[in-house]
This record gives sequence, C-alpha cells and structure tokens, in this order.
Amino acid sequence: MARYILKRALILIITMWIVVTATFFLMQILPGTPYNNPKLTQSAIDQLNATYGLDKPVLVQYWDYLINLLHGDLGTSFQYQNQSVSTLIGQRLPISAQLGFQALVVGVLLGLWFGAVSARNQNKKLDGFLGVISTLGISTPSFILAIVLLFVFGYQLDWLPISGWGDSFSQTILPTLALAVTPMAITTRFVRSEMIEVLHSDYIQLARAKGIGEDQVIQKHAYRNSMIPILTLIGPLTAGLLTGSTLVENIFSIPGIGQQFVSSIPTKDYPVIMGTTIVYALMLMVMILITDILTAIVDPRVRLQ
Amino acid sequence: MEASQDFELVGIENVAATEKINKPTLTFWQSVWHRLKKNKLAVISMYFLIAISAFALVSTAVVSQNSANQFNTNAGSKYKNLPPKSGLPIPFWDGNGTVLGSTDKVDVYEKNGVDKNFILGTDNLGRSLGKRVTVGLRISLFVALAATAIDLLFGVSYGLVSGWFGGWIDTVLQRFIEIISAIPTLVVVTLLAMLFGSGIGSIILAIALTNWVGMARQVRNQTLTLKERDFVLAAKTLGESGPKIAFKHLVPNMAGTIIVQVMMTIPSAIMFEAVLSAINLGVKAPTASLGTLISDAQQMLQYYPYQILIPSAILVLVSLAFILLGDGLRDAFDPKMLDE
Repeated sequence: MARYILKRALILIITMWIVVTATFFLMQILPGTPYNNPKLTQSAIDQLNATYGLDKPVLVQYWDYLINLLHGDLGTSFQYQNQSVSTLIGQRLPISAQLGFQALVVGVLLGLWFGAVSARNQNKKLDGFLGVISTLGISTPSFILAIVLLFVFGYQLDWLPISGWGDSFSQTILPTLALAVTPMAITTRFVRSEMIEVLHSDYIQLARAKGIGEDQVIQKHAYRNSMIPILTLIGPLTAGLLTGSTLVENIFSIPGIGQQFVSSIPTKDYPVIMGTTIVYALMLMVMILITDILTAIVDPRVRLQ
Repeated sequence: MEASQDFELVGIENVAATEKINKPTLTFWQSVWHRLKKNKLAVISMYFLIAISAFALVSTAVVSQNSANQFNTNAGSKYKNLPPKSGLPIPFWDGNGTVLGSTDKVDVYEKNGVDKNFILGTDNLGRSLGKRVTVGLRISLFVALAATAIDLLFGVSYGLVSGWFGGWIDTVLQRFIEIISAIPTLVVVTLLAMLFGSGIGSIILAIALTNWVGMARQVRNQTLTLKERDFVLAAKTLGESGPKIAFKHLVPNMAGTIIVQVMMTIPSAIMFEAVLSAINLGVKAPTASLGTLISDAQQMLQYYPYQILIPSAILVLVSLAFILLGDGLRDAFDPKMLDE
C-alpha cells in the first residue's frame, strides 16, 4: 500500500512539473504585455521589467520561478500592485473550496439517492422521471442554470440574496445549487447503471435465494458493491466543478479564485493566470490521488495492478 | 420392435419450407435503425436536430450576418429592448412589458409607436433578437461541428496509433493524455484561446484541442480489443498494411463507439463556446453566437430577462437533443444493453 501511494505521489510531482513548465513557456509566447498604459516611457518599462525580473534570460526566469514555486511563491501580480499571487490566491481559495465542497456533497448525495431509487424502480414512471431530470441536468451548463436560478429565486420571487459571499449562509444556496446539478446528474446516471448491473449479478441472486428480504439485499449487498466505482467519479466531477465555478462565481460576484481568473484574462495578468492554473491542476490531481488511494483501500484488486 | 407401433413416422415433406428464413436479414445499420426507432425520445431528438441544422443552413440565404448586426442609431430608443410579441393574445408573448420608471405593464410597442412585431423581441441596441438568435445558432453550431470534426480526426488517429502499436508508444501517449487531463479543461481552452488570439478559427482550434481526449481514450480501448480478433489476424496474414487495416477494418468496427462519442463532444463544444464568450474570449462583437448573446444580456437579466433566457433555452435544447440522441444510439449500437 505504501509503495502504491509513493508511486502515485511521484507521478503527481512529475506531472505537476510538466504542467508548470508547459504553462510557463506558454506564457512566454503569449502575445501582448501587461503594460497597457501608453504614457509609460521606455525607461519606466525597463525599470518595471527589472523589478519583476522580466529582463533576465527566459531560462533563468524559468529556474527562478521553479525555485520560488518550491517556496510557495507564485510571483507578483501585475494587476494588483505589489500583491503576491500566493496571497491573492490564498485569500480566495477557501471561498472557492467551500463552494466547490458544498456543491460536490449536495450533488453526489442527491445523485446517490436518485440513482439508487431509479435502479430499484427500473423502467417504471419514477425511473423515467428521474431520467429526464438527470438528462436535463447534464445538458444544462452550470452558468445557465445559475442565471435561471438568479432570475427565478433572486429577482422574481426575491427569496434569496443575488450576490456576495460571507455575510450569511443563504448567499451560498443559489451558487451551490447551480454547481451541484451537474454532479447530481452525472452521479444519478452512473449509480443507476452500476446498481442495475450489480442487481443482475450472481451474488445478488444468491442473496435472494437465501431468502433475505429485498431491502436487506439492496442495503447489505447491492449498495456496497456499487459504491466502489462511484469513487472514480470524484476526479472528473471535481474537474467539471472547477470549470463551472469560475463562471458561477462571476455571476454571483463571489470573490473566489474563479472570479479572479476571469478578471485576470483581459488585463493579461500572467502571474495570476499561471498561479491559478497551477493551483487548479494541483487541486484536481490531489483529488484524483485521494480517490485512487481510497479505491485501493476499498478494493484490493486495484493495488495489484 | 414393439415401440415402432407406438410411433408414427411423419417424415419431412418439404425441407426447403422448414428451413426458409422468414424474417428479412438486416444489415448492421438496418438493425441499429430498427433498435433506435423504439426509443421515441431519441428519434424526436434526431428530427429536431435535422430541423435545426436545416434551419441554420437555409437561414444563411435569408438572414445575413450583416442584417443581424446592423442597427439604426437614430431610432435606437424607439426599437430598443422591446419584449417578444407574437401578435396573438398569449400571456408573456403579447409585447407587454414594464418601461423604465414605472411598474405597470403596458404594450411597449404601442407606447413607442412601433408597428412591426418582433417575435423574439429586440436587444438593447434595437436589433431583432430573432435575427440575432438565428445567426448565433448558426455560428455556435458551426463552431461546435468544426471543432468536433477536428476532434474526430485527431482523436481517432491518436487512439488508433496508441492502441495499435502498444508498448512504449502507448505508454508515452497515455501519459500525455493523463497530463492533459490534469489541467481543468476551462484553463486549457482559455490559455489556447489567448495564444491563438480572437476569431472563430482560434475558438474552434482551442475547443478541438481540448476535447479530443475522450475520443482518443475510447478508440484506444476499442483498438486494444479489436486487434486481437481473428479478422485482423487474417488481414495481417494477407499482407495488408497497418494504416489500411486501421481504417478499413478497425474503424468500421468501432463506428458505434465513435458516433456516440461525437454526440457527447458536440454539446460540450457548444458549451465551451458559450463559456469562452462569457470570459470575453469568444467571437468578437458585433458577431452573434449563442454564447455572446447570453453573456451580453447578463446585465439585462433583471429588466429584460427574455434577452438571456431565449438564447439559453435554445442552447440547452440543442445540447439536450444531442445527448438524448447519443443515449439512444449507444443503446442501439449495443443490443446487450436493451435486454437488461
């Protein structure tokens, strides 16, 4: 087990290094400069370049960036003067993390429930209804859902606050719901097909043949075995949430890293864009690593591969 | 001896008749269509998509890009932000709306002295939303289909190479996919869109370069199973070249997988077009796409919700149709799924 974790952690570090290198050199070839002010004289630009270390050769800059990165330093933002990117992201990360976590929990729990109910009532009306809900959920991007929720519950009914974060829990409800629907829909579909397969397997037949009640069969045998593959879903779901959260944060004016990422694009704030990319990639890979380790703990067959 | 009296020998009088197969033999595609027909939602989705595509094509001749972008600067205040009006007494579709500064609902058309009916209303510059949506749908579909076509070409080739050669080539190619999937798609699309600059071509490329991963994975897995099959061995023995085996024998056998994957890629491409527009990396104004229509109208949500809800609804409907058809096709290509 320890060897497995070590191997996976090593792969994670190598992948991270490749991601960092790729983004760094991509940033070098991107068009445009952060100096949009036409009043800037050449000497002022030179001075700024010297302050930010942009006058050094690219490879030296790359080496510096790597070394600084190991110290948790992601450079200095162009957009917000003298603010370090690590501080900027550090302030905003907990907000995005809370939003993402809430959405993931709500989405996956609802999905588990709906999927199991669907599978037990296969081809009945309830199954059809939940099927429609989950298909609709998959085809509606979270930012469109955010707009619709904002319109209905924010403007028309005036039940919930329309923007902001941190003042009250009710502010988190609409963005969480908007983000939770996609994970809910994906989990529902996945759990349903997983459960149907399990319900047709031999050991379920055996359990039924032993004369256990159907409820017991489902709870003791079917549920547990259909839960394992669902762990593998967490990775892709997190990836989807990261994408969705940038726009949803923007719509609800939530000061998370997604909103910061969006606002740093037009200003060409490359250190912030790079920092966010690295943080996103790290979050996603750590999530995948954790679920892989959990899967290995639950299912010993994985470890042998 | 006695037993022979208990039984009577009937004999087979007409061998040919009993051996005759009454059911017509179906080709692979005929049986797929036969199974797909049973899924009503999928069939409806298919006709809906055919209709939408035909509409987008035909409208090119009727509604030009320019006519949807033009607006009259002088009559702007007269025509701007008119709610949808069908000309029939249907609630919410009668041209009634609130004017700035009052909460009473009035017929905005009468108040502004507009004698034309805009079925989908107008935007904040007085342009017909009907025309904008028509053009926007066309652009969005074009971006999605073009991106998917590139995807298809690249993803299928990548998967074939990876699966066919195996060994270290496969390992390297798969590691590369793992690295790509470690960065959230939005970030990759954003970085690429920034790299290529604005314009439809660069959006297509940015979306295509991020969406091929799923296709490559599916094709690789299929190639790994198919290449062990006897017909591939036969082709090899007959001295067929690698590429010929790949495209003549492998690809037709995984057509189902590829088509289903395409049905999943298109809606995701449509969605990413909208996402890019929302972060100001989409098609440039005044060109309309479903994405730009949605993001431009975002500020109007409180007062003129139809401006954002109409393009959003169209985007969701088109994605929904692709996904429903994809689901139907997946079941139709895999008869085992239907039995369960």
